Amino acid sequence: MDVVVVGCGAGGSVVAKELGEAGMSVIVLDAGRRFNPERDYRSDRPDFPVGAWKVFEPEDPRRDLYTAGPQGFRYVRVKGIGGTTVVSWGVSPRLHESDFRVRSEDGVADDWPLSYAELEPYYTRVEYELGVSGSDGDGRNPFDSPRSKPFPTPPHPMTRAGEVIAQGARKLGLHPFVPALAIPTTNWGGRPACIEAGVCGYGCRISAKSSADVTYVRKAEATGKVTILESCTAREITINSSNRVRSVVFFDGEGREHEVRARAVVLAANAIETPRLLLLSTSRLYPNGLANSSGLVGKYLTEHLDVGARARFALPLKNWQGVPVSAMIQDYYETRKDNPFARGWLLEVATANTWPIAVAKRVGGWGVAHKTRVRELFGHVLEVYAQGEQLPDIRNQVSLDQTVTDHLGLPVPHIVSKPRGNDLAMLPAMMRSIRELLQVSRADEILDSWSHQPGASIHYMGTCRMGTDPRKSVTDRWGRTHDVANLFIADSSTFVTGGAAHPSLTIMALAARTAAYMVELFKRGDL
Amino acid sequence: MEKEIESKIFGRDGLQHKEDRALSSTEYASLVTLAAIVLPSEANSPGAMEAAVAQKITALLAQDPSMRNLYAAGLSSFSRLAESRYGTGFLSLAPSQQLELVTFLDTVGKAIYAEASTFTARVRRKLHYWYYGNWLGLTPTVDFWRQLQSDIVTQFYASSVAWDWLGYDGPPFPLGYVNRFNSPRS
Repeated sequence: MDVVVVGCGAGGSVVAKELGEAGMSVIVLDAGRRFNPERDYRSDRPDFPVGAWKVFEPEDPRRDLYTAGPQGFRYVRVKGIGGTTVVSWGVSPRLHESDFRVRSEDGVADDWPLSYAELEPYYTRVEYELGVSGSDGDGRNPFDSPRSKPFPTPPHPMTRAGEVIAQGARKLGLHPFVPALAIPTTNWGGRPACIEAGVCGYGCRISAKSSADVTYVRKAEATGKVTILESCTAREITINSSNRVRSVVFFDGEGREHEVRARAVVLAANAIETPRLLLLSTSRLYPNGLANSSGLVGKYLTEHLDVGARARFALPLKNWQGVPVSAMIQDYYETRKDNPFARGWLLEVATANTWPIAVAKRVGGWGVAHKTRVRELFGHVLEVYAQGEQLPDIRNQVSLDQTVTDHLGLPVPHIVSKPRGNDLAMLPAMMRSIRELLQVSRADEILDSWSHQPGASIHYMGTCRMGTDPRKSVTDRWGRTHDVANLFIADSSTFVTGGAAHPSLTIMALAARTAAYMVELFKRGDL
Repeated sequence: MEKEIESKIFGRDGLQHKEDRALSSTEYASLVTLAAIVLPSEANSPGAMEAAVAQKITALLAQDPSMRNLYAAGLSSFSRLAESRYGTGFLSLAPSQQLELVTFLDTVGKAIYAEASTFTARVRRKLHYWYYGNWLGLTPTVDFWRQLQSDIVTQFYASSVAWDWLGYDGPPFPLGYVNRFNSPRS
């Protein structure tokens, strides 16, 4: 076997497809199962909001155990072929140019060891694989990074909820736009165009949404060079006396142990499971975990600051129709001199859980009062989220729990994440921007608002950061670990900072770049 | 379209009560009464009765023996509670007494399942649980009342009767909502 990839989500599927197309033999291990959209995503049922998420839960709940620090952590992810892209809302912005040089520009955190310009061709490559929709014309994002090619498919129509907030935003001098979505608006790659069903968060029944399982995974398997093994959990990466990875030891779905040898290994299990696996892989050479001579494996866990509010409008919004996120604002994204903090956030308008059953269950109660409230709220509610850049802090980290184990007897991840200095200064400003926007948009009633809850952003990054200095980073600028020449990381673990943009597209672009580099190394005989 | 989907889920005769398959006459009558309390019919809006909620739940119970047993036990506990508080079965109570009874169960449920972030609140919850749950033995009835509300709400809001009332287009698949922003239900 040439390569073993651990994890079949946004990063692993891209690596598998690119290496398979280059003629390499690849095995991909994933701890979860393969989903069947027709059978598993039952959004054709009248009662689909009840239990629709259950399909993503493990048979044995111990599989997904974890522990957290005193602040708690809500660890949300899907294990399975396609990973969390299966339930994502498809929001696919690129990072900004400034995101790659926050130390140089703002004096905080660290610069990335590569520039936006170096990653741009891979962003474009991935966007064309996915058929990302977006606007290049009048409605474009004025803050978007430079693009070498237009969006592959036109933007989605802005929903009524998006329009209501967009009108308010324009009064404030802001620039709302329909965001880039990995949800093609025309037939793409043999899949149908989106039908604006709005249930992206439960899996797309017609595979219009470009989740990894219906895009990169299909292409990877079509090469005939890639084998994907579901319900297989890696427990250790072994090395030989020459300091090279020798094999991956894993459990199959029945709990039987196997070992597969490869010329190279790529970890793409997410920013919590990847460091967990490295920390589990101890040896005489690496007593503190594989590729961990820097001591930074698991450190600098970074996510997005996440606050929001839900509001009712008198105007009927028909909010069950259309994509879940159809309006975004990036005016607050960059550092402003008059702010008492560095970096910034984006705003997005979301309409989720808008179906009758979901609204009724949230209202709760019974009787006439219940019915009256459901009637008031159904079709009239939207959410505005602010997603901010959390600065990396070494105290936020993933380690191995000393006492709790999962269904296979492996120590579970222990997760510590909390907003700190710069983050705490930014959070109130994020909430103020939401309230101002709702007020100017003439919301009738702000139903509730929520402050940052560790883990709830679902965007986990930074735990095997890339860099040029092996003492201060885990991988080099290509995702190759400094310590072990044939071990690579291709998920958001390598992010140096998180920006405020959703990470999936960047994960995939970096994975495509890592795969291209690996192909070069194979050709040169260096792997 | 919605009616076609409903008939697929519940069967073409699913709206008819199959009393012999699931619930006794008394149990079924209690279910109808409780469904009407949770979602009452009003002059300008439908309730559980118009959406045939009790029939739908009964049809589901006929296919699920464990749920059927849970309902039989739960409805029976309602009657026992009515007997102990009013000296007569649930169905014989005046509507105001029936309302009073379920309101009492709501109050007990809030007390024994309250969010408790402080030590004092946790102690208070523990005491409530001991009194209402262990001493009065109300926990099964409270739990069933909560399950029942959830099931009634699910069945009502999954019906075309509720969708027409709310102006909802129906499930997102298979049609989606392309070019349906001005659908007749608007």
